[in-house]
Amino acid sequence: MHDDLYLALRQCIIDGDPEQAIELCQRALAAGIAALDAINEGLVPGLNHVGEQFAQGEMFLPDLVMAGEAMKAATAILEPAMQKAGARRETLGKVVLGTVQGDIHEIGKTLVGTMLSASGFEVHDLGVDVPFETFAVKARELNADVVGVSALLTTTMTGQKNVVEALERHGLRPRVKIVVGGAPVTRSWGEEIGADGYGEDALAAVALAKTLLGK
Amino acid sequence: MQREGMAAGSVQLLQDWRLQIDVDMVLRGQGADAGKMRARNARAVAVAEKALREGMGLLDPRVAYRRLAVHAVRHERVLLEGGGALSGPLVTRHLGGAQWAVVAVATIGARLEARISETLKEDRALGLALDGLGTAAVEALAAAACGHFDEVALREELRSTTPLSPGMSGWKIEAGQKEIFGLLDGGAAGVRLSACCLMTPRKSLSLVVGLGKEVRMGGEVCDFCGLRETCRHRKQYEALAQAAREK
Ligand code: B12
Repeated sequence: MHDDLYLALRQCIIDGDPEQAIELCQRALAAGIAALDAINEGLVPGLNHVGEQFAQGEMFLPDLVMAGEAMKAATAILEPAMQKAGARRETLGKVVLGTVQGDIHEIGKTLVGTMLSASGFEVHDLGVDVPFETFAVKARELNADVVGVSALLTTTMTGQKNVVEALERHGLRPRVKIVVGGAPVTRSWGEEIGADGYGEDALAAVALAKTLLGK
Repeated sequence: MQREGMAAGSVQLLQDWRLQIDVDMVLRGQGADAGKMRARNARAVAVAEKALREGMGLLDPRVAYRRLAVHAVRHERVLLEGGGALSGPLVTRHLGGAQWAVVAVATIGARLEARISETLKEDRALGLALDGLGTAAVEALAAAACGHFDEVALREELRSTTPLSPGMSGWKIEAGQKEIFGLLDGGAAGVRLSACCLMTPRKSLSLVVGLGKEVRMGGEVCDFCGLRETCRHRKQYEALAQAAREK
């Protein structure tokens, strides 16, 4: 019925065009499309397409970020309509995210946050150089499902182990899942320190968080 | 940039660089294939152009270096004039035949970085592009510094090795960074090394080049990287290597 509009919504995410996203969402609401349908039938398929293209090396980080930004602009329009209708987009889970103590690398962690929020997670970004203990304190305070820890160099990556230990000390394991990432991080390092998973890029981070939470 | 030779012994600072950064370099600095981006995503190209306009004025490129005579190579250590040393299999393999080692740190300073952090809060696409610009700029700066070292070597009828950086396969970050910063003796162009061996400003690179009659170039940077097969940034480094070869 609204296939053209759904296709246009999908396309504005692929194009990473926030202005277009805003306009199309307003048009969709005016046409009587339920906000949740606009998300699930239009925006999400667009984001999935970008993900597939990224995995195949046809799209790149700027495409991902722009798609994430368009998604953010779109959901900001749809959210109030959803609340009014008493509907809610299911939150996939709460994620506490940060770059580990001793490391000030920002971009990778921020992109992971962008893609997690775009995919429907509630993300609390603690920033960079985050003390080990703070990950645990915040995870408890916010009742997080997942803690994500980023690091750029092998010399700071060792701090990810301290975060795992801090969560254990706070009695948050194994309920709160820990995922690790960053350029030098590998699957075997994740296993060695007792993390629940490793994600090689922002999209892998989303897939991993979904799998760990059974979504 | 000053174009004299290279004084031996003390730490020298090279400033006033005129870096040539174009939109494709900013795209590659974000890990993207510039050709594919241009063909498909005009908005991303426009964002990269904006980053270039906003960011170029925030670069403070500086290179600090020290040229030291190589005295001997023993037990995986290159012993240098003044009692310092560089250690590990990578440096001993490449600097074994060198008469001189040039240790250097290149940085674009902290101003762009502050802008990146601010921008990431509001406009992540532009923040990423500014970050890509920073990466492209410090890479170009390091390449230009090495070009300068090569020229000096040529004038003295010497040859120079591929630049080697701590963190490459065969050179541990902890060991290499402490040695390089120790040799630069606090005069590292304003770059500081943290307890975790992280340099601030972030967009900084440390490296060593060997000069000598017998040294060989021996590969490009990617040949010494463990991520070689999967790295999304390889095109960026290949383009830099290509530009250096063409010069
Ligand atoms: C660009 C780059 C630089 C740039 C800028 C870095 C920056 N961004 O500010 C410059 C040129 C300055 C640089 C410098 C150095 N670099 Co460098 N750099 C890279 C490179 C090519 C890309 C890193 C990057 O920014 N990628 C883009 C961002 C978005 O990706 P990312 O941070 O990796 O994040 C993604 C994933 O990792 C993942 N992720 C990140 N966090 C998290 C968290 C979770 C929970 C999950 C699930 C996923 C996840 O998702 C993100 C988005 O897709 C990598 C190699 C590579 N291919 O990764 C080397 C690399 C990181 N650098 C390396 C090294 C050694 C250095 C230097 C020490 C070299 C030197 N001696 O000077 C310096 C250190 C700088 C410092 N300040 O101390 C090594 C590190 C090896 C090691 N042993 O740790 C690498 C791996 C290259 C290599 N193999 O040799 N570098």
